[in-house]
Parts: sequence; structure tokens; C-alpha cells
Amino acid sequence: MRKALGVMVTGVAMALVFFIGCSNKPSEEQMQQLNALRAEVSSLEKEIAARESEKAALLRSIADKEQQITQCNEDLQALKSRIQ
Amino acid sequence: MVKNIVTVVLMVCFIGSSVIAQEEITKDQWQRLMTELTAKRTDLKNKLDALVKEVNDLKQQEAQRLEALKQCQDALAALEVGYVGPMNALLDKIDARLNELSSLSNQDLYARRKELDTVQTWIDTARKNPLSATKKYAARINDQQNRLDALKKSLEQFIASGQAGQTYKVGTWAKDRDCLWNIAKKPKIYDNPFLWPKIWQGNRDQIKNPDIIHPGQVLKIPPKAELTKEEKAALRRYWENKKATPANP
Repeated sequence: MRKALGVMVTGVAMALVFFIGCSNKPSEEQMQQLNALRAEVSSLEKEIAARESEKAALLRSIADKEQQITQCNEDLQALKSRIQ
Repeated sequence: MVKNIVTVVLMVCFIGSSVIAQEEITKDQWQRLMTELTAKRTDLKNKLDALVKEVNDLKQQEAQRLEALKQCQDALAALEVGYVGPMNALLDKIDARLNELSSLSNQDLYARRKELDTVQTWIDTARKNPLSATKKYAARINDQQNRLDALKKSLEQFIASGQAGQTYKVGTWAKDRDCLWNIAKKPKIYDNPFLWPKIWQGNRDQIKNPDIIHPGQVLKIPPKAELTKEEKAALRRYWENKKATPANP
């Protein structure tokens, strides 16, 4: 029985060694670093999307204002010529 | 027995650790990911900086356009002063009259056809106002002209159909036996006495009691057609009143 337990403990220990020590895995700290970098990239992507949206809205607004200015100037000239 | 259990536990440990190990990354993969993500972060930061600058430039451009628009609108408003009030009043009057005329039946429109000329005169007056040169007012005047043209066309079609303007001058009972029933019965009118409520309802302004019409009254004769729902309802009320008020002995 004791021998069997010894064998079992050795087996578990070997598995742990294979899992933790001998598997060429990055450390916990390195994984945190990777996750932080991923989060930063994701955040940048979101911010860029928001700015792109803001830029599109501004372009629409400017085009709309230019159209209004053109119309206003046409009205102004037409009105001036009718009044004179 | 114990050996079997130990063997099973060992196998489970080994397979479990292998499976878990497959879901994680190796150091090489970690290094590669870090390199890629770092380069991506640099690109994104550069892109964001450029975008921020671009957005700020656009905001400035928008502010400039807004200022230019305001200046133009102020100049326009200064020129419009003195014309806007009368112009709006005239255009509102035209709209109101067009709404009224549009709601009329063809027969009533025919009776008020001279008002179409009046509205045309108002529209011509509006066109002489300098504001008619501006897009907003020009569009409104054109819309009114289109509505008036549609009314004119509708009236022309009604006149062409031969249904317009038929009237009947009421004669005396002694000579002509004129009552609404007999008038409706005349071949030149409806050739159908049961259509008499049509004449009554078409002349409500001068016929309060359909049993009483006076010699010399000129009645409008609506186009021949089946009684409308309103005319049938009026007929029903007429008979109900008759029942409720027996004739004086």
C-alpha cells in the first residue's frame, strides 16, 4: 500500500514537472505583460474607430455648411440684383 | 487492485497535463506575439496621432465655415428686412385660400371659379417681391402655382364634362308645379324624382326646409349621380322630422 502511494506521488510529481518546469512555457509575469499589451492594442483600436467616426461627422458637417454658404451667397446676389 | 488505481491516476495526470499544455503558448510563441503586438501598438499610436491632428484641423475648418455662413445669413437678413413680413403674410393668405378651394367639390369650385383668378393675381404679386429670387421663397411660390394649376385643370375637366354650372330657376306651383321632387323628375334635370335630396343638399345655403322653395330661386343642380351617404342621411332625418311633426290640420 505504502509502495503504491509512493508510486502515485512520484507520478503526480512527474506530471507537475512536465506541466510546469519542462514545457518551455512563459511565466505568469510574461503572460500578464502579453495581456496588458493586448488590452492596450484593443484600446487604441477603439479610440481610432471613435476618431474615424468623429472625422466622418466633421466632413459631413463641413460639406453641409459649404452647401449652405453657396446657397446663401446665391440668394444674396439674387436679392441684391432684384432690389437694385 | 492498488496497482491498477495507481496506473489509472498516473495516466489521468499525464493526459491531463498534456491537454492543458496544448492550450497554452510556448515561450517562442509568446515572444512572437509580443513582437507583433508591440509593432502594432506603434502603428496604431502613429495612426491615432495623425487622426487627432486631422480631426483638430477639421474642427477649425468647420468653425470657419460656420462663421462664414453666419456672416452671409446676417447680410441676407439685413437685405430682407422690410420684405419678409408682407411676403409671408401674402404667401400664408395664398396657402389658406388654396386649402379652402382644394376642399371644395367640383360644383362648388365652379361656383367660386373667379377666386382662382384672384389667387393667380396674388401669386403674381408674390413673384414681384424681391424675396421671390431666393431659393426658399421661390420654392414656396412654385409649389403654390402648382397647386393652383392643378385646381384649374380639375375645373377645366369638370367644365368639359358638361356637368358644370347647371342651374334651375324655380317657377310657380300654379303654373310649373315646382317642388324638389318634380324638379328632380324633369328629364333635363335628373329624370329621377328620388334624387331630389341631391338638389336640397346642393343648395343648403338657400333651402332650409326642402318642402319650401320660392319662385325665382336659382338652384344649383349637382351632377347626376346616386345619393351620397350624407344625402341619404339628410333624407332619413327629413322623414324622421316629418313623423315627429304631424302636419297641421
